[in-house]
Amino acid sequence: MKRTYLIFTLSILVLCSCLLTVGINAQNQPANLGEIHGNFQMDMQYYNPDSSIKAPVVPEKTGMNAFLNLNYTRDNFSAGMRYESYLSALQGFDPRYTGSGILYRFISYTTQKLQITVGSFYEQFGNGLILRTYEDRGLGYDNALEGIRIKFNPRKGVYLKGIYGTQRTFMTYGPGTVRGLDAEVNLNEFFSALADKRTNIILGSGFVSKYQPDAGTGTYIVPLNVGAWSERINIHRGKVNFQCEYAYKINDPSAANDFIYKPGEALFATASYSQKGLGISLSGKRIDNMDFRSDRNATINNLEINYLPCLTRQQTYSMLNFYPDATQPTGEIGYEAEVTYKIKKGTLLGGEYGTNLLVNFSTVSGLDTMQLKPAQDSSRMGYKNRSYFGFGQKYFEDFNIEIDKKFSPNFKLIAIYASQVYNKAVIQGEPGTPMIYSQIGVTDLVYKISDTLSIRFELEHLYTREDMGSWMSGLVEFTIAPKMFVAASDQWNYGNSISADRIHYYNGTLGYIWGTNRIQLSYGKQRAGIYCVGGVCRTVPASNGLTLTVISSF
Amino acid sequence: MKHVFFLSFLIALGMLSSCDYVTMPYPKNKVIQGGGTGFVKKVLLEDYTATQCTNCPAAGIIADGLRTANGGRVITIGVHIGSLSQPSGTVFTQDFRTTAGNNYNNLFVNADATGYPSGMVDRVFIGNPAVYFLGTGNWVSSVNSRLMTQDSAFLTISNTYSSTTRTLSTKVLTTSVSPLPNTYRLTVLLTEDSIQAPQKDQDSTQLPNATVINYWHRYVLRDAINNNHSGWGDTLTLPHHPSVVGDTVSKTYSYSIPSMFLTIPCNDKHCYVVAFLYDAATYEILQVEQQKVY
Repeated sequence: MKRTYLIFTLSILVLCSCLLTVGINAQNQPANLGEIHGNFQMDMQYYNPDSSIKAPVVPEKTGMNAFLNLNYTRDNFSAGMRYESYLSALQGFDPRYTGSGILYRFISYTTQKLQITVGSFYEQFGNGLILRTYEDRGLGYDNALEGIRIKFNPRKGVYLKGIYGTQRTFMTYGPGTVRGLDAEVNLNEFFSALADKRTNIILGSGFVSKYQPDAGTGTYIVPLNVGAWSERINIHRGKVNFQCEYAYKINDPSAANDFIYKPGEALFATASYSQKGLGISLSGKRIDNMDFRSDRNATINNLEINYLPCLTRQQTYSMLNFYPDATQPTGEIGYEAEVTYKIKKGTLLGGEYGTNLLVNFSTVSGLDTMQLKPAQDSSRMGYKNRSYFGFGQKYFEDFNIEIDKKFSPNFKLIAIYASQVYNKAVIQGEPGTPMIYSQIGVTDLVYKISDTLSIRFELEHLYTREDMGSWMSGLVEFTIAPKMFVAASDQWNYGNSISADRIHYYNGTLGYIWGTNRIQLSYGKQRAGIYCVGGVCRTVPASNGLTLTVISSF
Repeated sequence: MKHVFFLSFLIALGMLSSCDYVTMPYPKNKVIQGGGTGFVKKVLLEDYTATQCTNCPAAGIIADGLRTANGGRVITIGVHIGSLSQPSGTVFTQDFRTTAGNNYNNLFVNADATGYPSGMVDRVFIGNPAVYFLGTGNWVSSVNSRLMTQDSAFLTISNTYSSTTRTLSTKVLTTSVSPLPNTYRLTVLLTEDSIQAPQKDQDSTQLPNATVINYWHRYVLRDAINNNHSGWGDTLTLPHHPSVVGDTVSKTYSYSIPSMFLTIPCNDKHCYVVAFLYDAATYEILQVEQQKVY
């Protein structure tokens, strides 16, 4: 298997070399050598032992994650690869990321109606409820498909996609095969009579099936082929947009759902209105047993085929992200509402530059279900729903008010108040821990001293009686544009009921930028917690040490 | 050309439509699996008891309450030990004692000296002076405290059993969910629920001598499946040391369930496999799981 991949990768490189050579040797016409682009990133950390923050002892003292992307394009042809190195993986990343290798590589060509890709690829059907493969380095998440993808545009307004492959799992590939087909029709493009209509309608439908053989050592009779389908609609008219997708999955017993045979469902809908100075959006979702993986024994974030959107505000400040929501694929229901409004310039509250206001509310709960007693559940449905749209135990709630105000050409303020409810027992899988209620305040001030010098202050406070108690956080960042920045920050757990745990997590950062290159050096302590992007999370252990980041692109 | 592509997509659609619906998940040769439900800490409460201990049924009620109140997260074992478990007279002719139970009593409890009933919650060495055994008054708080702890491993038990030959194959899958820096052992026990046998009970109105002839003994330790019945289990070697998250090791044991243990018949329909992972140096139990034999 490894040999096949090696040959494949070498083939890409040889092919690229041949194409370049052909270009160079073409004496009678302008050489078209194509273009090579890429980027490099390395994150390395040196770990100091620190029992005060319960940082795990790292025998190798350092960890390093590095990536090099290389993409070649010439006319309709493109090829690419990514070299990755984990020696050893940084703390908090799954240790199955180990060693170095080329796990991502592809060749693709495109004609007017057809695009064919062989090798690795990322793909998404609709909102991702039945298929989404993507990479997020911060999460250590990569579920790329390895195989064949065909995109076909048979006529105007019709877009077809077919995929066939296996999924990446750390430094190898999973045991299951994923097949999928997606069709999307833009009615306004398809029917010429609708071309000039103000209302734009897009319909979509997808089907994904996975196959995994049964080793015969398991407990139950498992389905070898598991299919999931989805239907979606997107209607856009002027300032209003509406989209809705429903997905269904047949029986899919797995380690993630405790090997129950209940079908899965997901419903996602969002409506928005926007005009100058005003934006309103309302989104809702219902997920029921929709964990979908190409390996029925996989757990955590491994070998997921689909993606279930997170309907809570994506926060950027540390205290607002202290207790982040994580999507529960086995079942949850929730909604999010957001209003943004710009108070006009020249008014009492708008001042000279106007004032941006944002109010956001989101809530997520478990489904209203009833566990079935094993003796009465011979088909292992696991549970049944008391009511389809009923809310069960609360998982997460977040209320935000944000004011973004520019006072002068040199001075800008962002102020945020948030109230959050966090069910740590469910979200972090720590049964018995109480619900956490927190109130958070954030102030972000930027003062521009000159055209090249600016200073930013960030002050945050999180109040809670639960968990580790209250925190405060401060940051000062000095930027010498466009080359350099220096920052110092501290997070202090001053409200911890255990005095020895009232720890300062200080951090200093120095960054240097030139062209498309950046080198950044940080030293300090990192608190233990979870890091989430879009409802997908990984655990971050406490650490103390020096971090070097090098980023370059060409 | 267009038609060829459309036809290809239709063929692909037909191929992809293959979905396997399973209406009866359980195979005829029944295999039962338990555990593996995720990162949930379960707690083992060992009730050290004896048939001729008049206070012991009251302790059994506490154990039953903790088990039922915690939705499967508390696993209880009734371990019959000591001189009050010796057959005596014409009523107390049955002996529930086991090699494993005797070993545990000798090391942790010594009930004849310290008193009956006694218990251990995850075998935590606690108190001043520190001891393993706890009086019944501390069981609830100790169990609740242990339920709050973070788990560091989880266990999955898969049982394959033939009721004809009474042969059991039990597979225990241990998965590390946080680094395990020490040496650990895995013990696999057999328990039997709902055995009717005489029991002294000071709260009973049945006479003579407050003896309940048809007392229901719950989740009684019947034998240790691995390590020669000793109860000390086997050393568990995970792929890494210290283990890393996701490290997994599988152990499979074969065992024939006797129709009788000493003079007491064994009803295999009421039998359970209990597996627990413990620190070899401190004996503290990290995780426990239970699964019915069939």
